[in-house]
Amino acid sequence: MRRGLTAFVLTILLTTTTASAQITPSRESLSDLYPGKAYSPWAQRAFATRPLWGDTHLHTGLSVDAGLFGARLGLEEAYRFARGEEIVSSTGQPVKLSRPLDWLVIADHSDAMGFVQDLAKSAPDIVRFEQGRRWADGFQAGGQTAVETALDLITTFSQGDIDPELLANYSPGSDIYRSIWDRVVQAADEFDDPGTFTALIGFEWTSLVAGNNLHRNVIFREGAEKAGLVVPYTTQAPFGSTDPLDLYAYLDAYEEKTGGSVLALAHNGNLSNGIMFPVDEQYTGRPLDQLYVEQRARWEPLYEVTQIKGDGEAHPFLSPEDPFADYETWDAGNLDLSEAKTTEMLQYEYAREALKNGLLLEDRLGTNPYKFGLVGSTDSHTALATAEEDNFFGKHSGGEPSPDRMSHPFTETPAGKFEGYEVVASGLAAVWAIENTRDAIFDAMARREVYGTTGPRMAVRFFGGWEFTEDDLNSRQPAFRGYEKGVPMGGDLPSRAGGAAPTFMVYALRDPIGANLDRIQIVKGWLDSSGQTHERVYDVAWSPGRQLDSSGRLPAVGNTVDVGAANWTNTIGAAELGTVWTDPDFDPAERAFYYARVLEIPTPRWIVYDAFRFGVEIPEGATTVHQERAYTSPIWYTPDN
Amino acid sequence: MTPLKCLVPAVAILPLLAGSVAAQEPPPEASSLERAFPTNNYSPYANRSFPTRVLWGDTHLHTSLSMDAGAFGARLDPEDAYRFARGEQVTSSTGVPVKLSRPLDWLVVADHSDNMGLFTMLYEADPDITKSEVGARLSQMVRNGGTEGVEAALYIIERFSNNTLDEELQILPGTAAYQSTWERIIDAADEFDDPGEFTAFIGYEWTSLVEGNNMHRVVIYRDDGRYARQTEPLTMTPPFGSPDPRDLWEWMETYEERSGGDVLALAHNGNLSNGIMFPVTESYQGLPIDRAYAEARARWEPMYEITQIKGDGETHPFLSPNDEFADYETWDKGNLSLSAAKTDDMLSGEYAREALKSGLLLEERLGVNPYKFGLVGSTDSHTALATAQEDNFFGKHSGTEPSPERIEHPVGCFEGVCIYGWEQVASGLAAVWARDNSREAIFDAMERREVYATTGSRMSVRFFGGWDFEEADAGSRAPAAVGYEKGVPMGGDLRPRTNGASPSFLVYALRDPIGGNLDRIQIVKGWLDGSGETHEKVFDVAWSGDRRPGADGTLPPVGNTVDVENATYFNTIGASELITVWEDPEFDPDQRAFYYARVIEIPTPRWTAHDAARYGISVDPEVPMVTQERAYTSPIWYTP
Repeated sequence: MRRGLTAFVLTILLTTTTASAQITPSRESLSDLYPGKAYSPWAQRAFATRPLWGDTHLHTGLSVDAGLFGARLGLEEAYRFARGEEIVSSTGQPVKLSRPLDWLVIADHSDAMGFVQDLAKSAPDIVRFEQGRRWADGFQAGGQTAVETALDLITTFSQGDIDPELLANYSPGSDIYRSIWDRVVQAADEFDDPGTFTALIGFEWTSLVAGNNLHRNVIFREGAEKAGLVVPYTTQAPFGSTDPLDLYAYLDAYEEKTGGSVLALAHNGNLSNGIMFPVDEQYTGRPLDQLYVEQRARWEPLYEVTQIKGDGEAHPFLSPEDPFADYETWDAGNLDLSEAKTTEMLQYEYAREALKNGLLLEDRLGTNPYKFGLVGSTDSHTALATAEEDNFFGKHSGGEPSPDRMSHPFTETPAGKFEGYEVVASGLAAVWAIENTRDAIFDAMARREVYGTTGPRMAVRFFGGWEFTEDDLNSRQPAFRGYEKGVPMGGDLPSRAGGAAPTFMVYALRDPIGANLDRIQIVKGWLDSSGQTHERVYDVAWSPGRQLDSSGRLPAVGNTVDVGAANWTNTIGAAELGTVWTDPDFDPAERAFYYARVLEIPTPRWIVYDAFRFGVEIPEGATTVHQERAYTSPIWYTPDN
Repeated sequence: MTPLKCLVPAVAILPLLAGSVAAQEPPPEASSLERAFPTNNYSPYANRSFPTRVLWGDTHLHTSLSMDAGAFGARLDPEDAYRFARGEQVTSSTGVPVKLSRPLDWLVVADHSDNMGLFTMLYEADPDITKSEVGARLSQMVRNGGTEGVEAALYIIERFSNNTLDEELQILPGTAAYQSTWERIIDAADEFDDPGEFTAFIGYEWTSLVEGNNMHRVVIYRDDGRYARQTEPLTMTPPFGSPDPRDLWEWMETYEERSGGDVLALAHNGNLSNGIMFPVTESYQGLPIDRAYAEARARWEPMYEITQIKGDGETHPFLSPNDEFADYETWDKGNLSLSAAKTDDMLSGEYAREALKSGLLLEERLGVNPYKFGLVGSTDSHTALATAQEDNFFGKHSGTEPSPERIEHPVGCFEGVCIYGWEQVASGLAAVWARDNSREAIFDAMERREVYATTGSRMSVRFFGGWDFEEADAGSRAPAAVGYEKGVPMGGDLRPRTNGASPSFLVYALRDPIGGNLDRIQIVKGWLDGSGETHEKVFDVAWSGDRRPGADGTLPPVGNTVDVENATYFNTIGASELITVWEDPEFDPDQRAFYYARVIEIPTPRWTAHDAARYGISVDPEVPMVTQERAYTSPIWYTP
């Protein structure tokens, strides 16, 4: 992320002087030029009117694993699907989104990008190698032979037994790799349609350390004219590295070389086995220092809090007081299930804990490395960004709709098991950008004015300030007051004046075609003077007819789900909720953050639709009903002095 | 509209084709086709042959090219109108920035065909107009503005309405000036038409006014400029034009025959026609309503504008005394020019529900129902701004754009009878269930009447009629799939009755995503009994919360959360969506009938409340500040 602000401010000051040196206008000549506030509440807005929906994390057949799992769709199909067109999936099924997305980042794995696609076509540059010939023939044979070929290929890759020359052909530095990246950036430019649909250029840097997931998605602000001047960074030596510090150096080099801007966001840390959010030292043994915290804060303004492989907001072990913490939890082990999870790993994996540790590290090192905004995304490997329960096309092409997909294990090793039915139809990224363009969306991400949902498209506003009052919600347009008197999600509370506690205005509107809302909560995390972090979840707004009980708990909203019919009714919950909330436990000496969590009423999980449509039994122990949610980016409070 | 013309040849050709196709290859063995027909697709949004989302638009928008709009100060032209409709911010004629909350999906610019473009030409000092002495003088006055501009406007309006307008100021069909204005309208529509994103229709308003009685029709083209420019619009001033709808229908037929194109017309809300919009025995000039009239009207007018800025035209409390929601934004002081006061006996010839009932009677009498129309709302705004939302209402014409005074100022007076600014209605919109956003798809949906009206809110409404809908059909989030399978959508005819059943209806309403919750869904039934009398009844069929109808069958009101002072409300009452299956409990298979749904929102602030709050003004207590917006679906008809 570029820090061009200083230069910009200087320029403005100089220009202003010149402009003021012109003729001074008379009072009369200006008298009619300032008509005041526009009557139309939608005109003259300097802020976004609606969130723009997208996915920061989608794979196509260009990703090696996606290709091996049967993804036949490429860049074009991914964009056409995202912008609302009907296409045919890799398994031959017609599929269409309920509503188009507004933007998309195709983030294919950078390592050996395009290799499997070329292999399937028996490309001459592949079949001249013995391994390449063998694999190409295996794929041509199809059926069980192709399956075994895929497994052979995966093993060869992960054990580093691939012919070095063949690997080099599909790594940075080769003409082949360059031409594949050219296709990626050109497809993005072709589908980027400012005002209607934004195609952001990106890739996934797939750092895997002994099966522990440290992946980052990289997003460029620019088009092919700049992003095409570089090629992606990879993890396989000697071309790349698995250390995030090396990725940051690559990002810096891009900005230096092109004058462009780029950012990264981490893949959900739940499969990192404790190394996503280090507090004392990196997985390499290198202690966390000034360099690390500054670089991470600079390059990673966002975090992927929810996706198909689990939800990463909070874990019940870390948040025992939070009855909603155990949501789509994947805690059997690391990414390839080569190592089982232990409870001490969890504190370095989940977003809420990382936000808390960020306060601690800021206190210790002067910079908060974990000051990120929150988004959801799919990480789908099908070229299909599907996150809706009734239209879910799975993690990879092998998990596209079929009668037995929920009963087939997703991954199973001696260390543990992820069941097929545990796959999560999640998530989406909502961006409060003022227009649908690369610049505007990237800039909103950089300032963290974003939020994540587990799939539904609820609109959520969240503002923090020192003087919000109940009256500020007395309009259908809370954003005017919100921006006027406070900062939006992702921001820092302005300096505290007077003895007040911080106030927050929060407003949520259900997905127009989705479920009503149960409640809005505000999650607070803080650091006390003894260096301990804490958290607390407040119910702040809920649908009518309920009262907090004597222990301060809000009764459940109820449940209308008819599992047999794969249906629910919006006869409970509220279409919208809003409130102004003042922190009753505020201590001005303590660092803190606040974010909003919005819960829907219970609705059927995707397996319920599968069971209904295919007429199959739901496996014992599978969760059928859940409460989808949105997580806003936090607003931070930092004591003065 | 030409459905019949096209259908017959197509049907004749199909069997022939089928024969030759089958003869091309040897008949396949059954097992070789097993994989050719996969089962239902998983994605509920893929392979849909029916519309998924409703497309919002306005069939009736004027720009500065309409003479009256120009005279009232409209400076925005069709291009501005399209830009605004597709969601861009524009500056209104009075210099105020304005933007829609959400774009519209489509728009018909329908400028008055009489004297089209006059004011724009005066403004632009078009040589065709300034070549005459009077033209040059008025052009100068208009461009000088201020009181001179007002004088010029009054000069023209007065002479035009008295049929004494200077010949040099008449823009008549056949002249270069007229042709160039028409070309400008066509070119703007073709330029802004963007299939899949935004549809711009070519259209105009034929402005028949008979002694001040409003008989206007909006004409909509399915075609692009290559067709439309072959024929100039019909005007109403003789000798070039005519105020008789029969002549309009003849013009439409001639257009279609000459160009091979396709057009339809819809009548302006009839509430200002002083009884002549829906004749039953004879038309305004004394000609009998015969089979030819009924056939032509049924053929050319598949829709009707039921609500707009100048009042709501669904029904009138005099006609529907048992309908507690009948008195909604009623304009019944007189005709369009207020030159004749309204009398009760006129009302039956003016309101949609009564016309639908009269249509059953006429069908019985003549064999054809001339009033078998679908329902849409539109603005009839003369500002080039299609604004129908209460919090963003830019008024009837540029003189009534937002200002602290517009509530109290008269919009028009005649001999002491005035219509005041506050009486303007921030209404309406036209919703179309079309498969895609294109001229062809939207036009075809209009022709099959798969449309509905709202008074400005964007609630989604599904309405299907059939013989075997059951409660379980309402137990899905995608009711349309079963709706189309087992029944016909709004605008259709019930399929033939095969068993002893009563008709059943599946109705679903989803609130405007950013609007008010819903109070209730009602089904309005009209029928013709054996003695030739028509009847109507309103049934509450779905409502929010746990309200119970009283002993007299009346459902208690939903409540009211409106905070007038702050012009706001809370969605703490009402429902975000309502769905039910309803079976007619009083069905008589021998009686012609129609059924349509009316969806009512919870109370919300009227535009007058927004004005009062924003300008900090106090208004007369008689000015209504709260409204319950609604949707009216097209009917479904039953014929024995």
